[in-house]
Amino acid sequence: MDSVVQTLVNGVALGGTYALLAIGLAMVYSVMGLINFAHGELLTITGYALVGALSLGIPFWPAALVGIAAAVVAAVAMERIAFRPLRGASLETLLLSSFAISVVLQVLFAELISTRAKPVQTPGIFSSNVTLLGVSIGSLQLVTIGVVIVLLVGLTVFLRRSMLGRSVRAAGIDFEMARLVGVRANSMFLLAFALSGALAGVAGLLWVGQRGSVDPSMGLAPVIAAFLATIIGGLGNLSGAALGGLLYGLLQTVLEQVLPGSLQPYRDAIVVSLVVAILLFRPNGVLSRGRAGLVREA
Amino acid sequence: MLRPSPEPDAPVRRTRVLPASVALRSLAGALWLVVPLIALALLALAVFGPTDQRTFVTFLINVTIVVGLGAFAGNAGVLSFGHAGFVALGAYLGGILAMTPAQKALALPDLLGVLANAHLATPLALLVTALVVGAIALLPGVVVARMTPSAAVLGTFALLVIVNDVLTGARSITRGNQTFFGVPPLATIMTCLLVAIAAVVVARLYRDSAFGLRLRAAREDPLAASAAGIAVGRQRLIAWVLSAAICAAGGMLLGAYIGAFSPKTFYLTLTFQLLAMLLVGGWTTVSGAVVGAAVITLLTTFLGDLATGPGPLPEFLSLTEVGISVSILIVLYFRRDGLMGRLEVDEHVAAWRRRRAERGTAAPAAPAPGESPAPLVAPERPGASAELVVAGLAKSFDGLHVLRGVDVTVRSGEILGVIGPNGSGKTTLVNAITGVVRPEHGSIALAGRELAGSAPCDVTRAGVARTFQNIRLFATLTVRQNVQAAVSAHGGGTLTPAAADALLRVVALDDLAERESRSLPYGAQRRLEIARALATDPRLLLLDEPAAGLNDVESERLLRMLRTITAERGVGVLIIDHDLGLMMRLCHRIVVLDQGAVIADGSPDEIRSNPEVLRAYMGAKSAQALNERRAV
Repeated sequence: MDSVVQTLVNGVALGGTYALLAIGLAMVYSVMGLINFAHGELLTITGYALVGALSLGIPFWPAALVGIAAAVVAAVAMERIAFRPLRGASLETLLLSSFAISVVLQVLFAELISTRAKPVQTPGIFSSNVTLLGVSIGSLQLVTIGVVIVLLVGLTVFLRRSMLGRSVRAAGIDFEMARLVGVRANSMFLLAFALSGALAGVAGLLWVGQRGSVDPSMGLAPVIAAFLATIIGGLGNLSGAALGGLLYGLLQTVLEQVLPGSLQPYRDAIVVSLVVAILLFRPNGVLSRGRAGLVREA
Repeated sequence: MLRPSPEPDAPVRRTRVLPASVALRSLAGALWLVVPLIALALLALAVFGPTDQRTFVTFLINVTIVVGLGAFAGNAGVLSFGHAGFVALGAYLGGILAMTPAQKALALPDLLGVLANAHLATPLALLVTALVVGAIALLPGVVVARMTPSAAVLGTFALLVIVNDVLTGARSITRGNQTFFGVPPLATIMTCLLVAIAAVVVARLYRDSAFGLRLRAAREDPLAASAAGIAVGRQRLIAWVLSAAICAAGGMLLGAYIGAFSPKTFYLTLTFQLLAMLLVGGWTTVSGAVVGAAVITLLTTFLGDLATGPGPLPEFLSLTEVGISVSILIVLYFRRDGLMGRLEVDEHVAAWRRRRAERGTAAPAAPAPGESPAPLVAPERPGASAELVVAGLAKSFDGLHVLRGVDVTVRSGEILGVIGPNGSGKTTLVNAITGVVRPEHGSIALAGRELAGSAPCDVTRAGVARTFQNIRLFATLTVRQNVQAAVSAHGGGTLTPAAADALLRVVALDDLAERESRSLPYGAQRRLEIARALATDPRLLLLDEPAAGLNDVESERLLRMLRTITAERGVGVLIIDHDLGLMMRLCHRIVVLDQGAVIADGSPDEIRSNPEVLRAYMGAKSAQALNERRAV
């Protein structure tokens, strides 16, 4: 019983982290049709900013804010410098340029900082356990779940209640039409990238908290998971992306527990194959036809 | 059943996928790439030192793999991140097949069964590798074929992750994360040259074949492609398997060439390099793949020398990655179609010659005479045989009943007009008949065969062709290719170039056969859609507002053309249009739809005087105007 609860909590926490990334990816996709491969590098940037701030003697929590701010700035800079000249380009063009940017960033991290992992001193809450109703649970996992819930609720409220949020939803449904009725394209791009950067920054902190270190290619594994999450959910569908992220994290964690040792090496292959199997029956995502969703719902 | 005699200038149908004339032209085009490859190889053997020879071998292997990747990605319009997985499978499988059992006992002691004992000669190992990996590719191919292009891109990415994981996990076959070694050095210049040439030729033949053309058409507009009888998913699957096989052969050479590798060798870095080559060169052509492979191979070598050599730069080992990234960004910013654009080398040459010739001629040729200016005669009574029988057709969208039990019949040789106010269900009727939307009730029988619920491409293959209200051509294909991409309802064949031109003459477009279809004037685009529909050999033609946006002269011309086509080919026509004057003169019979139901069915004269039509559709004023016009 204990292990079942622990597995579920761990799975939801991991899935929640993926969900934060996937929502950011979906948001950017819905406004500019870009599947941003360099999204994973936002995690890495958060990590390095955190390391840098800590080394300057800044305490952890302010340093964490510095990390998130760095991700926001980096995301907005990407939009300004790299993607703005490519607006309206095809999916392939955008995807490949973001791929190129991701490679350049990884090379820069490796050359300018270090190829080796930088350890991060995290506060005790990241590594301790708490006992809830007789079950010992990692406090980082609980914090993660809490943070993810707060962010999802906050995002939902923002998207539904505020004028800006409604504009983002409108842009997600039909970008051209939204422009015609007066939504400003530039501010939509800016907002989508900034929000995706903020979510990636939070995800980056949680990710660094789990690993305890930062290295140049640390963004790869979670961003791959987030990619697959966005396909499960249907490209550009925010609730679908969140759901896909949760599902992916849960599958990974559960399979890690239940797979026999001989099959463990194939765990990710099995998770991804299950995802693809879902796509065989819903080729355009689980929520492709449904009307539920942060963005799609009227 | 009696079918009227075929058209007078009967186009010669070829049911073959690759007619000899097309194959010859295609091979001649491939020579533009093959000859330089051979010349370079001779040069390399005679003059190059060992370092440059290695660069050349790398280039040949890259050509093979990138051409393989392009065979799918370029023709389908779906960028694939998964093909490095096929390269990896080729490297491992080919390596194991080519190693001696003794080597395998040393490097892979846990290998079992046929793999442990197999020892194939290089050509056989290449062939088996290509075939086996092609077969493996079927499974992911089925999935990718079902997805929309955007989702498919991420689906191929999932494939890359899966292959990498499986190769890492299957330690007894691959040594897992440890280095795989012991493959004999079979990647000689000659072997690589022959494989690269084979890849170029096969890819080019495929591109120009009916299959390749159909897939390129589907890349431009999937819906129009299925309306032209193309089974889009199946065409994608064919390209996918072919391209996986070519990549696997290239992968085997790559593995043998680098000698020692691990699953990581074939992961994101390789994927990135392959995509860079494809996009820098131009991803829709074989020439682009070859040029891209050349540019990036040279760049990589140059930057690699710069980074490791005793040059002035500080050691910056990742210079190559940065260089490739920057070159991709430059190409994407300034020349999105890649260095070669959308045309093969020989097509560029032909286009250049054509432009020069056009500049040479002083005055433009006199406008095409078009159809005979014989005066319009009253339409003949059509034959009695009913081709299409639609009965009780019903369809609703989110509770809105768009069709409520519609009955319509069209006879062969008959032009049936469907009119009705906006929102009366005319386009939905066409969409339901052609399988674009699935009707909830009712039957659609063509010459007794039930079509309700069939996919659009199957409806077309049964003999129902259509045009679209908003023109949907295969934009970047030529006018002739637009017609050739269509699949005949008689056994799936397509038109030869000559037959396509004969058909284009019917719609007075034969002068423009080489033009890109998106560059045609509006009226010509409408006529091309009709020609493409006719290329499917339909028994029934559905025209959704063919006269929309045409001026009076063009409408008149269209009207004559439709008369001629119907009379000569004996097809039944169901036409929707808002130009009532045109409809009254063109149609043998008219059906009036209102709010999803048929309210009148009869000759134009009967419709004109039907009081219910006047009330429900035209209104008193329009009816009066029409009567006045009739009097004139």
